[in-house]
Amino acid sequence: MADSNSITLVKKNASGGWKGRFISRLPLVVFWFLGGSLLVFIVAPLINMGARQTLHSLGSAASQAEVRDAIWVSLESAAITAGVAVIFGTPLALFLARTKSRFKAIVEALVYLPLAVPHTVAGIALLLVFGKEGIFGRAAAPLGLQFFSTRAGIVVAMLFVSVPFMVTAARLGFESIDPQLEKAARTLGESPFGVFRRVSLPLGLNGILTGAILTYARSIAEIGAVIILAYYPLTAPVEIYNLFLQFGLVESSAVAVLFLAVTLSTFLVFRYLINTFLVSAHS
Amino acid sequence: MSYLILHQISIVLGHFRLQRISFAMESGQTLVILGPSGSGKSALLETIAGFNNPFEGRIELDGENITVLPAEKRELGYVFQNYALFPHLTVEQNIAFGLRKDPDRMHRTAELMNFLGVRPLAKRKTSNLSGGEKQRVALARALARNPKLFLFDEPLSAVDATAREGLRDELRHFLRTLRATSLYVTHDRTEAMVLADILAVIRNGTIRQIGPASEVFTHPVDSWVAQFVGMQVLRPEWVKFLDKDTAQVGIGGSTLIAQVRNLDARQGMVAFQPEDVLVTRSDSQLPAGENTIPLVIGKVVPLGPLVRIDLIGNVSMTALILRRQYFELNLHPGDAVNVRINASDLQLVPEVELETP
Repeated sequence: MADSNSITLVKKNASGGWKGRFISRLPLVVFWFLGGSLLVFIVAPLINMGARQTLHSLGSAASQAEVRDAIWVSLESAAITAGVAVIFGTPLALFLARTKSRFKAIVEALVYLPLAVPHTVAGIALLLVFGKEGIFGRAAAPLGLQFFSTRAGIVVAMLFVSVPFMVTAARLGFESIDPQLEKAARTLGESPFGVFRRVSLPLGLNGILTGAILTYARSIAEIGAVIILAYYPLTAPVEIYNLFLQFGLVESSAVAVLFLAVTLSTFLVFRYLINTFLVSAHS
Repeated sequence: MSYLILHQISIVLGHFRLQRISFAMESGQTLVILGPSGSGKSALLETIAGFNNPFEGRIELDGENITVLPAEKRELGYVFQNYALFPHLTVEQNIAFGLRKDPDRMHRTAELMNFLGVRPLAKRKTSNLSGGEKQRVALARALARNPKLFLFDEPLSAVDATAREGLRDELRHFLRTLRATSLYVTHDRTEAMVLADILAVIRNGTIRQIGPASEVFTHPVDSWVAQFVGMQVLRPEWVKFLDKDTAQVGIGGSTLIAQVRNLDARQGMVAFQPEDVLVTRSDSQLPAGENTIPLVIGKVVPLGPLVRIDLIGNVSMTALILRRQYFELNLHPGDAVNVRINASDLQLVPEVELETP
């Protein structure tokens, strides 16, 4: 009797345990499923597009001079944009990280504004000020600088849409620095600029470089603002859009995959360089 | 002419105000500013360092008016909470940080590392140093530029209790050896007791009492200061003034003599240190004597070498006695005892609003 009782108990426990385990893990399973679905949603279209290409189609895309030029224009303009964003974005990021001014909220809202503006709208707005008749366009003309359908125009359009990424990342970098370190540097004889150069900049570099990479990535993908302010020289996204309209899906997707491969590899190389550099600088 | 003079310094930081802070100190002294969190002690230190602008008042250091001088020109050595060592630099680079323009910086850095015994750590990053090593690096870095004044902002507050005592002794040794003029901010009265030549007690942005440390700990100006420096504070049942320095007070149904301190109004509270409460068994042959209250032992809490005895009866109070003494007296909870506080240890001080514990 005692044996059968105990066996029954074990069985009950076992079945209860299995159900209990399942129920307790259900939320985790649901979370994994939701997160995993999102990853599939991001990756599947790109992998599918890549899988449809043959070496031949990619080779013929790469052999076209205008395609190579467009990709180069995109890479170069995005890199210049990232550089410009670092120079102009870093002081603003430092201001936002450190200020207790009541104007902080306004400045913050202005920095995030490009995220809420449709990029074609941004393009039109930029064209109105940077175009030949625009206020900035006219002011820059005597310096030999034109924005309408020029490389400078591409950079301006890219900068407008990507600047929130730069400022936010650099700001987070600066915010992670203990303000006491900056005060310590002041008491050790450094002027505010000296403090920036010797403490804030090296310690905030991680955020600044992350901002530069995000700016680069966002810029290289931009088409809406670029196509309106600087249709020419053609960037890769504009070229791909043209090919899609003229020749359809097959022709454009080969160039798209080629561009994606180049973009991703430059992105990964930058990430790798920065990580290695920062790790060695901080270890 | 004093070495550091603060004259009527007032600042506003958001809703917080420091109100007309004035004091003077001599070269080579350590002034400890003791106060609860939010009392304005760190704000005061930052004002002297040049990080807050006072809207009135004057700060003079070594005969020079530094009130509006930028922080980097004030020649101060600041030791921060958690030490604020630069994480991207080595120990050596941290110490040499302020010596950028000094042609002799290599030699000076080596000298400082030797003086504070951190030479073997020269090439280490600061993130994996122990608390004591960090303190020594911070002291060397602050000392590098031969500052006119050292400022310490609760450097030991984040250190765990076991390490704190050693670091505190080391700091005391550093300050005494160099005869460094220092301002030291803390909320810890033991730190204040160990380090202070002069003690200022600050509350809600005003200095409540300033004077030689021993004076503040034994003769607080009011009931709040008394409580904050660790005294017990009781409201007497009645007060009868004998002369301007002494009064009779009724406590727990007994009559005790107390010293009158800083008391204009008739309303006062008695204050005494728990270690000045003398406990004897009431069945002992000794006469009860003066200034004695019969009470009963309530709770007994061992505190390492000391024992805290909570006494109950017509009035409640706490005595702090040596553990050895506790066993010698053969005391137990529930025992009737005579509790004596000598007249010289019992102060009648003005009553002010106390902190809610």
